[in-house]
Amino acid sequence: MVLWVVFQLHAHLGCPLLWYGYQAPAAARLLQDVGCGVGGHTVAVILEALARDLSQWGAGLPDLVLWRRPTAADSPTTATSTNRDVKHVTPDGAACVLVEVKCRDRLSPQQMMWLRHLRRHNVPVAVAVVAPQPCAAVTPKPPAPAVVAS
Amino acid sequence: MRCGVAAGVDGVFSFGADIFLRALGPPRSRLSRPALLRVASVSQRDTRTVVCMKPGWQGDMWLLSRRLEWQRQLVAALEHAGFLADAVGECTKFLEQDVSASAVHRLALTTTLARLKARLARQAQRDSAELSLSASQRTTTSADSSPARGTQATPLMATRVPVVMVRVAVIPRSMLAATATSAAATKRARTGVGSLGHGGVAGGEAAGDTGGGRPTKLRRLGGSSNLEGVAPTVPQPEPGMMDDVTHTVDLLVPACATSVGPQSVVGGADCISDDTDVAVAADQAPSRPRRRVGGGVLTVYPTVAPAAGVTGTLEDGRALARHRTAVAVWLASGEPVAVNVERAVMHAVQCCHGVGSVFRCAPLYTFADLPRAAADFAGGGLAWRSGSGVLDCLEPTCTRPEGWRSIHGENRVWRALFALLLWEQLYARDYVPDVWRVEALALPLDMYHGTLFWEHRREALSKRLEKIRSMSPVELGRHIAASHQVHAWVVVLAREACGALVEKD
Repeated sequence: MVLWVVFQLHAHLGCPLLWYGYQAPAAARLLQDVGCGVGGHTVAVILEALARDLSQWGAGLPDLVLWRRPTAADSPTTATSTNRDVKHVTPDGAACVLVEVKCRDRLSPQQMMWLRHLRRHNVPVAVAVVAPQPCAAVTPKPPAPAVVAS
Repeated sequence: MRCGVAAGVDGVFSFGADIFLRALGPPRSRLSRPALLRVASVSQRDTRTVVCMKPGWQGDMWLLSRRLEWQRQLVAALEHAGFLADAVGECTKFLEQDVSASAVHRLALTTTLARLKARLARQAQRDSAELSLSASQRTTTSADSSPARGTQATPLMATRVPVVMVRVAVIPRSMLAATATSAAATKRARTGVGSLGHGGVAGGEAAGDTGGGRPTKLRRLGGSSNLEGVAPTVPQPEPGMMDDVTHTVDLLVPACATSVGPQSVVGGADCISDDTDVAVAADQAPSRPRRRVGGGVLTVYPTVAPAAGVTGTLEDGRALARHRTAVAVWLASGEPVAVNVERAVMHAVQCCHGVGSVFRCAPLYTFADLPRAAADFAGGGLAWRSGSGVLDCLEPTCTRPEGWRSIHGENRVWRALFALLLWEQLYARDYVPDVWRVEALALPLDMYHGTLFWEHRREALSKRLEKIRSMSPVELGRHIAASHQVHAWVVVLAREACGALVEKD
């Protein structure tokens, strides 16, 4: 019965149906938040690249999206002026950064391509290279005092 | 019924539960007739021999796109190698021979052919110009060309993208307890982690302390008895990796984590995403097989002060030499496991963007657990799913810069926005003929075929993108929400993921 319903829905919608039920409102809110935070310029730059060639640009986007959500004190007209003191600002006044995090490997060509593209269009990007250095912690040294004198 | 593999097809290829025929060379065009193609479901994925098959449209679509892709790849390879004339010849041959191809196919070839011809003409023009130029230069001087080439081949790192190095150090649990008392005294020195990028929003004063705080921290770790002689040979980062680092962030990872159930590894097996490797340390327990457990929650503190409510069941923590970004932790059962710190660090970068702050770690979000992320974002605090399946929201101890939000979404966020904002253009049926051959197709057939998608819908897409560019943030958010509401129940995110999976062979 359930399969039949799913099949009918599938046929009715004309596309593969995957169920995620209660996650829908959360996803909508989150996406709305992201879109609202990064602004139209960034979204348009990325969507244009995706639309131009999805097979080439469909992967390699930075890992993290950080954005500054306009607070209640900011009115839409003053958002630009409130973001003036923030470092990462897009041309349309939204404060956001796209961060690529690298651990063991190096930037792939697609990631480089994306970073360069975003950079060229004045979208703030950053690369965070993770280099764990517990080696400094485990080199044999004479034991230091356990507590730093304040 | 058992049937052999058709002639001209080298074997059986499977996407998940469906199998298709795979051809080595360009499939003949008669093979793309649906009656001759076969598709079936396999019960045992390992059997690559002979299966029972029936005619199906999926195989037809697949072979059709495969043929186009093969021809496109051949032409692109020729073009890339510089054999433009050969590429033009091949393209013309395909156009002449493949008379039964679809309109999309022919249009792609025609477009490519036109581009190749134009490029060939340009190249001929440039060659003649260079010939004349070099002839004139030879007579005068010939030392000016090298700096111009040098500037053309500028690597990405030279374009001043801020590169932040995150340094992770592991604090043993005993040391956590010892230093908890003096945490308040040394707090100011320890919160001096570097900032992401340029000192951040509010981290100006904290970044100023970085120089004094870091050596103290590392010296103290070096004196710890728990760490001595455990992992003496941790590989240094590659020399090239450190060249372009512009900023540094120090993170201390204490080897304690929450325990919420008998099966919990680090933070509970059920509350964490599945795509993080938790592997048995090979040098500690060589007989144990490598295994995959849902794991990834590490408690990451920029300061040493342990947060209340974190009950540790892990005995000790040691740096693991084998994995550069892994930490070995000992479970309560005495079993050593290695935990990948990459995602914890990623979360740390998310949380302490710009400031060195005290925060408590939350599970790292994937798109599979959006409700949890949304609950966290809405509540402003951090949450995890406890062993009983109840969402426990903790008090917001995370002090991000005010108003900053973050998400770890990689491509999925943008793909979802792509589908939501360009829905009309994506699913319009009247732009190009023959891209919707079957009603149940998830994406148009020209979606993954180079620039065809853009070329077919250039005007509509440009107009729409201009509109998006001129929208205010509030308006844009409203558009996204409205589109999501209209196209609800058709799973955009899952569809995008599904499309990516299907398209990658």
